[in-house]
Amino acid sequence: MTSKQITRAGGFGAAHRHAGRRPPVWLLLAVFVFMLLPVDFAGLGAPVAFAQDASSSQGAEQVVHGPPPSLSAADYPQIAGINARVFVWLAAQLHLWFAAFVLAVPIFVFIIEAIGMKTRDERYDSMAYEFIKISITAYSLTAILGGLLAFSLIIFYPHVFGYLSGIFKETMFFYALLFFAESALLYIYYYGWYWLQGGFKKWVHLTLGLLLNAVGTTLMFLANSWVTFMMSPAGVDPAGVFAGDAWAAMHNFLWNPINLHRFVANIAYGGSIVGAYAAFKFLSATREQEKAHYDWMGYTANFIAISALLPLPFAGYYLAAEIYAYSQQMGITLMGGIFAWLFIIQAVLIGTLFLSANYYLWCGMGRSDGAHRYNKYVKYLAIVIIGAFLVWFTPHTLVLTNEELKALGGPYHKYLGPLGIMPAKNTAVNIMILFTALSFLIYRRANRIATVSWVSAGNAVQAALFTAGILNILFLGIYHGYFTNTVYKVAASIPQVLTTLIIIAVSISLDTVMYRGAKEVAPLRWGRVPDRAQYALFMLAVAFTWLMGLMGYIRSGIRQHWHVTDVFRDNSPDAFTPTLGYAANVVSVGTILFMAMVIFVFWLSQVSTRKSEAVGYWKA
Amino acid sequence: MRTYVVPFFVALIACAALFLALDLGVMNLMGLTLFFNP
Amino acid sequence: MKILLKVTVFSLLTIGFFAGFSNYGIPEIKPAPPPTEEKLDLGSMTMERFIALGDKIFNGKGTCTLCHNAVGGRAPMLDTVVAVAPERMADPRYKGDADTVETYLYESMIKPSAYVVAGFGKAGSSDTESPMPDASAGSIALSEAELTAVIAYLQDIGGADVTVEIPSDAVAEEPTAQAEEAAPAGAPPAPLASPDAIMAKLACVACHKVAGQGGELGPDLSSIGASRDREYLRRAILDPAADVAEGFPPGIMPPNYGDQLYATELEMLVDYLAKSK
Repeated sequence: MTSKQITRAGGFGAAHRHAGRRPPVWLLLAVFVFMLLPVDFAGLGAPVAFAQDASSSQGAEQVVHGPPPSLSAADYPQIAGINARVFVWLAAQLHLWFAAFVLAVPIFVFIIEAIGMKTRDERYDSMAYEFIKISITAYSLTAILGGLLAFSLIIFYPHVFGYLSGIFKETMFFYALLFFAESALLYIYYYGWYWLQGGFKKWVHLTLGLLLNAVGTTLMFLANSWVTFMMSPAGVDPAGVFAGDAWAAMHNFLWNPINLHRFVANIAYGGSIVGAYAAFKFLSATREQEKAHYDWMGYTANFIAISALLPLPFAGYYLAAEIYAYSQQMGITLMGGIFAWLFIIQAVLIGTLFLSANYYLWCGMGRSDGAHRYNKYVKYLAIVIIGAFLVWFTPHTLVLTNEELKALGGPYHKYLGPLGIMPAKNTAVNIMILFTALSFLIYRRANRIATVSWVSAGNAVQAALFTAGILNILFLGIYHGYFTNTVYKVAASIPQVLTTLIIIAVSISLDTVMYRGAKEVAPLRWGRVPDRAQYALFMLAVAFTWLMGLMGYIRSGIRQHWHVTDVFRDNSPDAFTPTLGYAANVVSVGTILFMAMVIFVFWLSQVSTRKSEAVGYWKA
Repeated sequence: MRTYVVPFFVALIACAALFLALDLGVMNLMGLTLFFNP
Repeated sequence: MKILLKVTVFSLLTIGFFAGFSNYGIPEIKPAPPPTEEKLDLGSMTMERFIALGDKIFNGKGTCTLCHNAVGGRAPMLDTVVAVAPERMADPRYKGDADTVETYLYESMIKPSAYVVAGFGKAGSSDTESPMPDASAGSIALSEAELTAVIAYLQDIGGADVTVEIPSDAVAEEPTAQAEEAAPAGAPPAPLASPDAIMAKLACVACHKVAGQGGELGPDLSSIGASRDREYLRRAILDPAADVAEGFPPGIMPPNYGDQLYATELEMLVDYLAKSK
C-alpha cells in the first residue's frame, strides 16, 4: 500500500511536496546524544553510582535493608467490603493495559511520521497525529491508574511495599521524576505537531518523538525490575537482606526477558487497540472519504499488530526458558504443573488472534477486483492455520502434584497426547506464523501483475523456499521432537525459528523486487471492505486484552504464596492460588472495565471536535 | 511451464541445502550434532 | 449509538466465550493451599507413622513428585535409590562426603549437586550442576525431622531396612522435663475429668474408630464392650503386645500409656469402653 496506490485509488487529496532544507546529520546526532544523557543518567546510570557509593563508604557487606518481616494475616490491613487482592490485581492490570497502549503508540507514531517525512505524503502525518491524539487521554488514565495501584499497595500491602521500596528507593525516585520528562515530551510532541512543521522543525519534532520513546521505554524497564525482582530475586541473600547493590537487584534473571517480551507485545497490543478505534470509526462513518480513511487506518493498525505478533512467540519462549533456568521448580509448575492448563487457554487466545488477523487480510483482498484470482488459495490457508491452531491447542500430560493427579484421573489421550508436547507446539506455531506471512504476501499481490521478465522463476523460487522451509520445520519438529532426547528436542527449536524468520525475510524481499514497476490489475479501493472485517479487528483487540490479562495472572500467580519468591512469604488471607476459572472471571471483569474506559477515551477524542450553536445564549 | 518447473526444483535443492547447513551450523554451535548421537 | 451497542454486545460475547471456556472447557484444578506449619507430635510416633509422614511429605510439602515422577524425565526415579546409592558414592564423579546410604540421601536433599545422575544435570553444565533446589531452604523448607522422615520413606519403599531414628521432639521433651521439675515444686496436674478428654490427650482416634469415627490402623472400638471384658481392655491399654487382635500388625500401639494415665483415668477409660456395646 504505497502512497502511489492510494492516490490512484482516487483517495482523498493529493500529496503535496515541501521543499524543506535538511539540517546536517551531525548536528542532529549531537542534539540527540546531549538530550539522551540526562535520561540515561536518570534511568540507568544512577543506581550503579549509588551502589558504588554505598559499598565504598561502608566497605564490606552492609545491611542496608531487610530482612523482610514475617507476617501474619493480621498484618494485612482490610477495608470492609473490599477484597484487597482482587482490588490490587485489577488496579495493576488496568494500569498495565493503559501503560502498554501509551508506550506502544509513540513507537509506531514515530515510525509512521518518519515514513511520512520520507515519502512527503501528508496522509501519514495526519494519521500519526490522529494516533497520538487518542493516546493523550489514555495517558492521563494511565497515570490515574498508576496512582491507584501505588495507593492500594501502600494501603493493603504496606510491609511488602516497605520492603520493596527499601531496595528500590533510588529507581522509584527516578521513576517518579522521569514522568516530568515523559509528560513534557508527550505534550510538546502532541501540541506542537502543527507548529513544528516543515524542514528543520520537522526533524526537531521527530527527535522529540524519539526521546519520548526513549523515556517511555526507560520507565517501563524500571517498573519491570520491581516486578521481576519479586519473581526471581537477586541482590539479596537467602534471608532477604539487601546489601545495597540496586543494580544487582534490578538486573535479575527475568528482567531482560520481560523487557523484550513487553516491548514487542506492547507494539502488537497498541496496534490492535488502534485498529479497534479505526474499526469503530469506519462503521460509524457516513461519507466515502471517511470510510476510506478509516479503512486504511485499520489496515495499518492490523499490519502493525501482525508484524509485532510474529516474533512474539519467540520472546515468550525465551521468557519461559529463563524461568526454567532460574528455577526448574517454577518452570515445571508453570508449564507442567497447576498452570499448565492456563497455557491451553492461552493457545486458544493466540489462535483467535492469528485467525482474526488472517481473516481481516482475506476480507481485505476484496478491496481490489484483481484479488479474485487468489481467492481459491484462501481456503487452503485457512485449513492449514486452523489445523496448526488445533495442534497447538491440544494438551498433553499434566505433571500434577499431590492430590491433583488423583482428582484428574488418567493423564493423557492415547493418540492426541503426543501432539501436546513442546516440539509439536513449536512446529504448529512456526507454521501458523509462516502461513500468516503467506496471507500477507498474497494480499500484497492481490491487485498487481508483475512485469519483470523472470516472474515465473521468481514464483518458483518462492514456492521452493516455502516448501523446503516447511519440510525443514517438520523435520526438526518430528525427528528431534519424538526420536531424540530432551536436550536435542529443545535445541531444535532454534533452527526452526530461524527457518521461519529467514523465509519471511527472503520472500518479502524477493516479492518487493519482483513487483517493482508492477501493473495494477484493478485499483485498490480503500473503504471497500465488508463490515465483518471490522468485527475481526474488534475480536483482535478484545482477545489481545484478555490474553494480556491472563498472562498478567500467570506472572503474578507463579509466585504462589510468596511476595518475593523464597524470600518474603505471603501470609495474607488471600495468599491462596486461585483456580483458573476464578482468575478468568477476574480477567474478564477487568477486560470489561478496560473496554469501557477505552470507549470513553475514543469518545472524548471525538467530542473535542464537536461544536454546538448556542443561539441567543451569549450577550450580543 | 518449463520456466516454472526447472527453477522450482533447482531452488528446492538449493533451499534444502541452505536449511540443512543452517540446521547443522546452529546445532553445532550449541554443541550438538544434527542426528541424535547420545 | 447502534454501532456502539453492536460492538459492545460483540465484545461481551467474545469475553463471555473466553470466560466460559476457562470455567467449563477445562478441568477445574484447585491448586494446593499455601503450606501451613504443622506440629509434628514426634514423641509418640512409631516408625510406621514416621514412614507415613515421610510419604506425605514426599507427595505434598516436599514437592518431590513435581520432578521425581515417571513422566517427564526431569529427575531420577527414587524407588530404587537405596539400592544404587553405594555405587553412586563410589563413582569418581561423586563430590560429597556421605559414607552410608542414610547420609547420602540426606546430602542429596540439601546439596543436590554433590552427585548429579547422568542426563539430569542443568543444561550446559555437563551433569555437574543439579537443577534441584536445597530442600531444607527456600520455598520447600523441610525441617530436620521432615528430612529424616523422607529418608525413612525412601528406605522403606526401596525395600531396605529403615536405619534412621525418629528424632526426639525437642519441644515435646521440654514440657515433660519442666513438668518433672514443676511436679515436686507444685501440685501434680489434676486428673482428666472425662473419657473424651483422655482419648483426646492420647489421640486414640488416630488409629481406632470410637463411636463410629476414627482411624483404621487398629480395631474398631465402637462396640468393643460387646466382645471384650474389662480385664482384656485394661491389659490392651497397658500392654498392647499381650493380645494383638487378628488381622492387625503388632508393635504399632504405643506401650507406654500406662505411664501417662492416673489410675482413675485408666479406670474411667476402661469403663467407657466396656460400656460401648
